[in-house]
Amino acid sequence: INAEYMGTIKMSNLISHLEKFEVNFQNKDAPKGMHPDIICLGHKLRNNQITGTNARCFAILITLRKIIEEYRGSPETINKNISVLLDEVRAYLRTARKLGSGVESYLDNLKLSIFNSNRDIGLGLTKKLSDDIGDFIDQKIRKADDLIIKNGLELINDDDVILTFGRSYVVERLLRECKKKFHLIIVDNPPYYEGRQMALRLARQIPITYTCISGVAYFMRKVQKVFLGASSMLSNGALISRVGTAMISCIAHMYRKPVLVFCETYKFSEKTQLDSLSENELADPQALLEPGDKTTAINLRYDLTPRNYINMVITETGLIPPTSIPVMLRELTRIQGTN
Amino acid sequence: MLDSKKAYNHFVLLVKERPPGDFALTLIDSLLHVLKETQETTRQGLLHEMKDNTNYLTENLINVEGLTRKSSLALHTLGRFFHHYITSKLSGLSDTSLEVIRSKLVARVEDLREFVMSSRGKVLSSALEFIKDGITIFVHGNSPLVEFLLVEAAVKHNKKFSVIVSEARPDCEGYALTKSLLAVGIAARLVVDAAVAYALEEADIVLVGAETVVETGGIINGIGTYTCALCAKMLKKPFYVVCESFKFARMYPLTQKDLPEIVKDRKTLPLFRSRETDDVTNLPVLSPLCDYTPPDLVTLLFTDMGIFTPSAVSDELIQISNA
Repeated sequence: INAEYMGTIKMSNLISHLEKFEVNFQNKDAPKGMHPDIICLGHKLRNNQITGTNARCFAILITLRKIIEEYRGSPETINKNISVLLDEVRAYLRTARKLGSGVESYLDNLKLSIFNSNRDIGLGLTKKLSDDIGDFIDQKIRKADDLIIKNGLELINDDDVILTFGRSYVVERLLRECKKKFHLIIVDNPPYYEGRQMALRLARQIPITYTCISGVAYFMRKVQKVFLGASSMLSNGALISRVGTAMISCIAHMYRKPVLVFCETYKFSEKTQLDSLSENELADPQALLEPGDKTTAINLRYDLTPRNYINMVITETGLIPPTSIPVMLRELTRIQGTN
Repeated sequence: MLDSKKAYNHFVLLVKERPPGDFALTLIDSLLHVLKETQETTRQGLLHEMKDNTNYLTENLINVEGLTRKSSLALHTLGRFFHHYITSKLSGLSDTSLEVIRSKLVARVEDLREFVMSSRGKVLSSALEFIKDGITIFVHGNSPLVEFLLVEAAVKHNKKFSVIVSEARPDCEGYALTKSLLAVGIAARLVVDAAVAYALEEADIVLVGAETVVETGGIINGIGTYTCALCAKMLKKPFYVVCESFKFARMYPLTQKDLPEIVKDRKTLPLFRSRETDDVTNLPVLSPLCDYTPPDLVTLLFTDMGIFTPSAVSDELIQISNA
């Protein structure tokens, strides 16, 4: 037993509970009769052609709406058929890539609304579900983003130096729509270098400094604010976001720089989590290695930023401290219950 | 004819008549006066008149003689709260007769007045068990609520404690507080602002008031409070804040630069009190009136609605605004 062997055991103990990245996805047979759009979506999600929580949520819901509208089965058993269809699609997409807690909880609600629907609704069910999905996309994503940006514009002052990590759709749009004069520091991270896309899109109008995580401590002194996106936010105020975010927040906290998270309320989750590893997603380890390298690589997608490193969460309902996420969830459920 | 200055004029009158101190009740009384004497005949008209009067009053508070710039911040928050209170009550009433609506509103405002009047006593009962016999309390500045709390605790509840009061330059409010504490037999000592860290070694708890409590659970209070809070944190002393719940505001400052304009600069108020420094008045100065203490430095808030941790403030604010 040598050090290298012990190292491998230790590493695998850390992540052995996480779902292993399945290398040969293409060879997995999709269930018979699966709509080609869904198969296509599965591959796109798998190959990182669609990344970012908002983009994935949007793509999944749009495709789902399309196949619901194209339902051509019998109206008598429509409730059961569509419910089964939903389950099959979800199960298949999960094998491609985990869906994300916001989408999962919405799809649970959708299933519940099918269950609560009138037995004789017939083909009206497809319209009802299609409208529901359309409303969700409109209210919880599009309009929510508009409101978040409206709230966020007031937080940027002239001559600010803003630091952002990775590529968040909302943050990018906010920075693009801001007419004030500020300097942007984009921090990036291998293996996917998502920050490059953001830099390319914004370079024309904003002066940008581009760096990797190793350079953050150097730049943090000059920064006024840190803007982050979210994959989800948990009930204990913790932030789940692209791996590396926790480090950025920690350094920002050390230098007493405010950390602002831009997050739509559909991403709020009832779960709580204390550390980054108990629940995470593994991506292709080969992305971290040169071809032919046999080293064990761990390519985590997300990490967890604890509540005390976050100063403010900007949602469509306003500015709240991270401790108020369960309060917001409670209020939203209450409002939804009265509707 | 809409007179938006009615409340303001009444307020100025009442301020002259009443003894100086907290102006919260005076604000409510002026707005109640407008409500009682309204000539409006429609709900919208009534709402409009109340809104205009409240806005004019809160925006011109700084012009009122006898009112400090700091208290105007707290009253501004109260004005907003009052407006929200009225609007939500009005939308909940389904009566058609304006007389009935008006009398119901008057009744509700009088309830609010009762609530504000009794808030001091409730804060006292929240905070009392933390003032134990034999402790040394460090106080910064002179909040009327802190003074009330300490005097009542010593006189009515026979608590034996000693107090160290910081000067709180440049207004030097600490002098008045020390005098009033000594007058009721509390062992109080005055200390210069520079000696805060030194004095905290001897203190067991730190007690301050607040002009405003913001959404994060942090507070905006007279300049020097942030310094005390930082020292208290380093020296592991609990930092307690006493304030009424109508001072909770939906503001969200991130840094000292985000403070409201009204308290960022003392403007024409004198910075130095000493005669020796008369010839330095032409120097460029940085003279804020208040500072922002972030929530991680605040241990607990004693309010009329109970004892809050900083994170509970936002919960309360969300509930108030959704009520």
